[in-house]
Amino acid sequence: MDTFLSYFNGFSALLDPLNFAVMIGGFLVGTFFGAMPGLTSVLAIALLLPVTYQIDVVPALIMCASIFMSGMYSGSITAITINIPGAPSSMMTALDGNKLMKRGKGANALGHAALGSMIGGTLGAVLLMAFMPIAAKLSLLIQTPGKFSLIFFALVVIVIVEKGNIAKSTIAMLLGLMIATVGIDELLSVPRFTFGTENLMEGIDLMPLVIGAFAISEILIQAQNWRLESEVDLDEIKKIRIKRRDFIPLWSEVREIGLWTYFKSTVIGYLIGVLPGAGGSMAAFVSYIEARRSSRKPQEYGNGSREGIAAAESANNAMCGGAFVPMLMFGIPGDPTTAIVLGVLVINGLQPGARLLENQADLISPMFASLIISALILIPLTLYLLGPLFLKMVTISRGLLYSGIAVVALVGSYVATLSIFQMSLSLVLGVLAFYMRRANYSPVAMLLGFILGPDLEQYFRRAMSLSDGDPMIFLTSTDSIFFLLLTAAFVYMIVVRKPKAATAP
Amino acid sequence: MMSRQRLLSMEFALPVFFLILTTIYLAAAFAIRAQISEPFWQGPRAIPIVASVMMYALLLFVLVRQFRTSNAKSQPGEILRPVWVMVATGVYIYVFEPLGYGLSTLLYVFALFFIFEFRTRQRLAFVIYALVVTAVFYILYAVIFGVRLPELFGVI
Repeated sequence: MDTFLSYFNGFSALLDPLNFAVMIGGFLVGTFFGAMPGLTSVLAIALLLPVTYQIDVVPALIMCASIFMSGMYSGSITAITINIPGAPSSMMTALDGNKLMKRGKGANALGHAALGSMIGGTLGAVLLMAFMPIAAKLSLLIQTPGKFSLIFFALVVIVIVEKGNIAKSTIAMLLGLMIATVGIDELLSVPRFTFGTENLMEGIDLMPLVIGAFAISEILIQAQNWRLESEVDLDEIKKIRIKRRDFIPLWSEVREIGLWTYFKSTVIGYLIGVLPGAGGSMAAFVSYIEARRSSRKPQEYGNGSREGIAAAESANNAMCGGAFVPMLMFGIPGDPTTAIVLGVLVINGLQPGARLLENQADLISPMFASLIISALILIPLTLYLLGPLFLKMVTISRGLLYSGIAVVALVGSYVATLSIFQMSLSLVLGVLAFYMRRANYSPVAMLLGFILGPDLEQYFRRAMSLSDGDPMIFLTSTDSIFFLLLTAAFVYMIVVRKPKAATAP
Repeated sequence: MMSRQRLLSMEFALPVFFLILTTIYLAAAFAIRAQISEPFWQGPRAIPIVASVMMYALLLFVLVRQFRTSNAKSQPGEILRPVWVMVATGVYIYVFEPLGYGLSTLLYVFALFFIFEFRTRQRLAFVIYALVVTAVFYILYAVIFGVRLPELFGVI
């Protein structure tokens, strides 16, 4: 009951002018970054990470939640209008949305994308709030060996979802783990890998890694592809005329899609969100395929199916709620955005786990409220009010945009710690991430390895201490066996078992 | 026979770089000395050594797989432009404190505008946009968040 009361208080917290302003500001920033091809909500949160050092944890989390939700939705804007997904999670939306756009039904497609995002995002956040107390109780049942096996499970899933690239993904994850070991060893207070440098004694902070891997590497990638990616065709955009009332989907179309499609896609998206490393693209893909499989009109998929748009957008926004569950309860982020949100929590001295909900629910409840308000009110409202302006965003010069991003990334990495060393580290890690991306090594796996690595090591060593060095503790502890078996099951399902005939459109 | 150009490409250069990095890391891992004697698996060396061994195995696997791949994928895009961004950024970080936020950022934005070919022929617009970018982020960090940014002669 206390938990639900604190949820209610979370909504009240949004009435505070600062909290309200950061929610709206975050939503608009997320919409802009999500809609601009090449920019993502992850980049938006990465750039704003230094800002979170300057403000309280509550507005910082509110801002992160609204960016996450809006960035997930707004990728559909350019996916539909110019067939360039603003975010990878909108790839499936582009398939049908742009077909509708070419038939003069672009506003209708945008309306269905917003409706799907609104339903999926809201239900996903409600599911998050409903299951948090249960997840908190479950987290208390897990002992030290089980915690090791749970993190091991998360790391294995993170690398095996990169099917076809598992070796490189594991290398990236191990690299992240190795970077995380730099500094004083937490258990024995021994300096490791400092090479006599005082600056490395405290270890490498999350911030330069995030800025480097997601902001600087992105600028370098854009510089590399400068001639390949032409500026958006301004004439094409000028031709597009959209009226506000066209954004509102017809009730007959919604009935044809069916509430079951929205609900099923939401549940799929939510569950994929809970899975570490899966993310919005997989949520949209799986629910799109499932919706097509069970559709009465599968032939319409890929040719302008509103049902396909609804399924993909409901799922990728529902993923936002799901991704918070393992992050808040076990410290295991489901995707890069929640990994950065975890960083915000840690910077402010909050530790994920059951105690977070028990003792500090007042700090995280406004974030849940922000997720719901962003999905339920801000997505449809901004589409209605700003929809006709959305297209104009893509006409902003990329030269100006990336120059601005470079400045905000570097100055941001300085202001967080007032350290030139942190700025230099951002550049070094950014260059590393750039070459990794060029050679198909996942910087996301590196980030998650960096975040989960220290916990993996700590729980492993603690468990070994508890058993006097007997590794059988991992096979005799019930919770540990459960997660090891779960790991084996996932490896079998994703890697070993041969897939059925390809179903991708 | 594998061409020299292919051996120098990122698909080989990066794993080799990681191999060197892992070797340095492993050597440093062996050099870790705990004040209290701990069994190996409970000590601060265990996970770094295991991670290094796994890195070696995976990097060798990746390198062998690359050798066996007959047709190399050429990397599209430019080489010099990202290098110029790296150089400009490195110089910016180096002069950030000595020159102060204002001058160093303005010069950095000029450099980026040149690299990204933004309004290079419209000199007035070029300067105005650079001044605006510099001022906007100064207002964000120094004025709104009250961060003390480096100054040159007490000026921004």
